[in-house]
Amino acid sequence: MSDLRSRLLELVQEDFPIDPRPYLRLAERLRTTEDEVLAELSRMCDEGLLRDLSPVLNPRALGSVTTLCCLRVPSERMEETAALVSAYEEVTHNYERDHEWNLWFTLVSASRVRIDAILREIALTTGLGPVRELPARRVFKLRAVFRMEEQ
Amino acid sequence: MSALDTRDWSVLEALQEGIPLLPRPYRELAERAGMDEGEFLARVTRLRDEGVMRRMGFRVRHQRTGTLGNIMVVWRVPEERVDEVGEILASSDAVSHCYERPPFDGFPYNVYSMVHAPTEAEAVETVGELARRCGLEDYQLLRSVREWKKSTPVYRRPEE
Repeated sequence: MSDLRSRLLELVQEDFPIDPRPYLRLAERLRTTEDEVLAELSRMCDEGLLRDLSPVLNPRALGSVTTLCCLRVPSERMEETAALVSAYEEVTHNYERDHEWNLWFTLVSASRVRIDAILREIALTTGLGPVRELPARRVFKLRAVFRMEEQ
Repeated sequence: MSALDTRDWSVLEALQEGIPLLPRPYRELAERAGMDEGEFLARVTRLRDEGVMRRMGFRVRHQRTGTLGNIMVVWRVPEERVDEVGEILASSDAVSHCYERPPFDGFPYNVYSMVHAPTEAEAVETVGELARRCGLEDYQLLRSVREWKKSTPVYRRPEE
């Protein structure tokens, strides 16, 4: 991985400039040109290294509720159950894990009532018992910034 | 933290659509939000300073950036040690997320952490080191077998 690419990747994850010419500001920090920064970012998006450029928001400050839930799903019913859970727009992440409690998903909504309704509906439709809900009591760390491995 | 007004929500809605790869990306978004670039940038800055935005940045696909081992580890921690263990886990570079969550019947684990390393073997090794540092023996590794959904959350303005 080129030096420009790995440094750019670190910068744009954490600290994208809030400025009329953000890509120019990045170019100045990396001693290159705005065109080169835009081209490199565009390549990284095409290659699937980067997803979208958007803000990481604080759900609580927006009046939204987030929560983590899990279900115990028999393996022969995993595919249909995972699809049913994923179909809710409010479900943002849905992972199968190698544990007795094997389906773990997170929900986001502006409405607590809506989350309760979804969890009841999932329990009812799947017949897999109540969904276990594990809302965070306390956040010790929330930081998903990854460093590039030197290759 | 001040309450969000309707123009703040216009800014947040525009930002959540993604910032374009254009020399003046905020001018583009400001137009969509129905305001000039100066007001848009001022509001973005304020939203960041007030913590409504945790940060502004690209999201990466971490499976492709040399981070292949991602394990959810759940720890059983005595109530009086939760603070201390939370601090130890949070201080590790390998841990991206760490929360206290309620245990439930048959699942006595109350601290959750996401552990990342370049390979799964290294992630497992890291978990062992963290366990030693925390002095904990009762924990479980929940590896992800399949990603059924991963999307960027979209926050909408609360209904009036």
